[in-house]
Amino acid sequence: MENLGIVITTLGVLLLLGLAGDLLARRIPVPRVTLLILFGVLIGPSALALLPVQAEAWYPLISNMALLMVGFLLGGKLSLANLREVGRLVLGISVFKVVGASLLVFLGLLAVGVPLPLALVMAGIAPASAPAAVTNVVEETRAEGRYTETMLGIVAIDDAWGLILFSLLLAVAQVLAAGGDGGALAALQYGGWEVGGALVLGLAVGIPAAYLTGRLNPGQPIQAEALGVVLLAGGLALWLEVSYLLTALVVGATVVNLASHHERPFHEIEHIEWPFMILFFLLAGASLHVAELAHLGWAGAAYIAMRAAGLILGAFVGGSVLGAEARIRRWMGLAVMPQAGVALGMALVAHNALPGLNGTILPLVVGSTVVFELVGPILTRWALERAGEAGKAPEAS
Amino acid sequence: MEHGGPGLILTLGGLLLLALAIEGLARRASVPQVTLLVLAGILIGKPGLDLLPSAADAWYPVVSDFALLIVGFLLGRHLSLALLRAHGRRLLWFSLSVVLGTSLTVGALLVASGFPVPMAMVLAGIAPASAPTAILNVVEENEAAGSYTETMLAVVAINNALVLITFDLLLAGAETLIAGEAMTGPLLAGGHGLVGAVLVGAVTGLPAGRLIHRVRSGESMQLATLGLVLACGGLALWIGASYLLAAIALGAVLVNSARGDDRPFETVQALDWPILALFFILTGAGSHPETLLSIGWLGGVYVVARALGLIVGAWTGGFLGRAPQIQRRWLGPAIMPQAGVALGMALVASEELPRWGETVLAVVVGSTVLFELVGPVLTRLGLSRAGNIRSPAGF
Repeated sequence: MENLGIVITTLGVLLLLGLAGDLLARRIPVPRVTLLILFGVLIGPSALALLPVQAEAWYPLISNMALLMVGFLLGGKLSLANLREVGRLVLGISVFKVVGASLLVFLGLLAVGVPLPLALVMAGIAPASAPAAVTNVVEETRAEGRYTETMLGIVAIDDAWGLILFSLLLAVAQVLAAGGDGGALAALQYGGWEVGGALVLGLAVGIPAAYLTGRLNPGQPIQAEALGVVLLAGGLALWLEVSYLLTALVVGATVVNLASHHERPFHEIEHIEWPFMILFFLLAGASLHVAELAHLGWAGAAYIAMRAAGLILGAFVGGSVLGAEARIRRWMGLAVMPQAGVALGMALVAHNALPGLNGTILPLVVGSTVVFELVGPILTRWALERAGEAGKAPEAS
Repeated sequence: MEHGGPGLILTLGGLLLLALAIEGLARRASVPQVTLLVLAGILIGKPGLDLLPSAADAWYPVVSDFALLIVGFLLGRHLSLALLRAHGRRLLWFSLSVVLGTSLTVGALLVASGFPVPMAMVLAGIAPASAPTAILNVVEENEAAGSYTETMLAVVAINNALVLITFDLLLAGAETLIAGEAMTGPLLAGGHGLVGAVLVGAVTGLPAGRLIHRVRSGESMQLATLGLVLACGGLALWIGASYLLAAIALGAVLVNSARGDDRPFETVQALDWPILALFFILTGAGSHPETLLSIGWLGGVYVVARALGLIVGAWTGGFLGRAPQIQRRWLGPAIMPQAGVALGMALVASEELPRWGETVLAVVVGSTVLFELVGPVLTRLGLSRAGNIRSPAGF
């Protein structure tokens, strides 16, 4: 019982801390995501070590639930009406930015003398973004408009491109590292399974869910349905080892396009996601290994600089090719800079798939996500302000 | 990955969808959803098909603590000074009479049937406990409102404190009888549990009451309220005080100091359903209906005496407090549900009195299945007879 007391007190205190972070963020020009992660770093093992040990055990559960909700909500942005308006831009810019970041990181790392397989893998990881952080900044700044829609669309689908590219590059890296092709085939299968399986599973759960949504009373039933469907899809995805973020995204996109009263389940999830997100960011901060920053070295600096340059350049070129307005071309690359869990997941896969690299991938990705996750949201917020869309949405009641 | 892994998330999702189906069924069948949720739990849990992963046992304490904290907080809301000033005497008569009446009836009938006195005393201490979660859920499900509903919820809140006191007194008495010398252990523990709970509730509630009007609605209010309830309950658990009582105290302090700011309660109400539904299903899944059959004569006497005690106690209390007929008649049946709180007491008793521990536990475990299934139906019936349900459930 004593254990449970500590656990529940900690949860309560973390939520109140989140409230404090939220209040503080209104007064200083720093996004609350950054503040929350900083708080997390501060109370985590890297600094004051105030969190009870059990907190580490909840992190997977909290982060899975938070990312599932984020995926579902992002999927909800992919309605056909929305896509008709910004679809071309979303598709075009996301492809360019993925390729841009990947290419520049690859070249940059080779230039500082990183071995070829490692450069390939890092090129695969570079385009991944952190949808949770980006959407949170949007909610916080109450941004709305064409730029915001495009940005949310991009972070929604760039995970799909990112995963495909990552599995391709990982396959090549494995061929180079091992000289055989058995591992490469496995890597390709891994990518195909992650992406393809997520699509199929998302549709399989999303279609009945959309059918159900139109037939339920608003309020509690919809809340239970939305949460139940998201968790069911996510649990199945984890079990089948397909990408659960993509699965949740496909479920959201299916529901938004097929269900009548389709806005209700998204409202319900938006309504309950916030406590999970607070805990997610705080615990994410607590699990960041700030000490890894010291080991980044040249490769790390090159990776960070090239990823940033690649995203900005890719978005700019993509926007120009598609004839997007200047504010979208100019500010999109900055806005999608945050990077966190997805990249770490990829790094773990690569770490296991390429034992020959002797654990050089993880410190690189872990260290750079500290930078991107702390600085990224600030850039996202700045970009939204530059694009003139912060504060355009009506205030939530 | 064990903790955040597929099994847990998948099961949570599945259970929520099951609860959703049951909610729809309950609307159509005009049966309280609590009853059906517990039944469904029995069906898919250990007593039935045994479909739940074994990890479900491990979450039960967490889910049940959350549920009781939330419900305690919402119950505390009904202890506003305005209500206490207007009906305080009546509420006190009701609570005293229900708790003492039920204890006396159960104790007397068990002793008269020839069961050992210490065992009868302990069961008499457990009998008046009711299940605040089930009762509150029936009220919310039917959107019941009115003076009968207010009275019932306030009585449930007060009862929880009274029951704690009588149980500790009776447990101390039973231990004294067995040992032949005065045993004050349970009294000290009880006093600690009670005083600690009120202290924790006040310490968290008073500053909150002063500050809460400054918190913005929406996300901030959600964080503030949830954080407050969890911090208060966690602290109580930590120092070994009654966390249910601490949450009730928090709600009561807040309703009286926040000057009509109802947003914290409304925020929690908007979120409570999934966790309560999970709690009811898991309650059913962890129950042991088979013990119902094995408790035999003893169980029969206990069940009859508890029902009788509640009804007679409420009637007498209503008579003494000059309550309207409808309250006298229906308050007893309405607080019939019994679950987690009683089980917690039975566990304490079984540790303190090893000789009768298993029997006491079996009686309570077996009878709560019955009370938790039938009780909500009576609660609902009382609400509808009192005219506190404006529209019939459904449509």
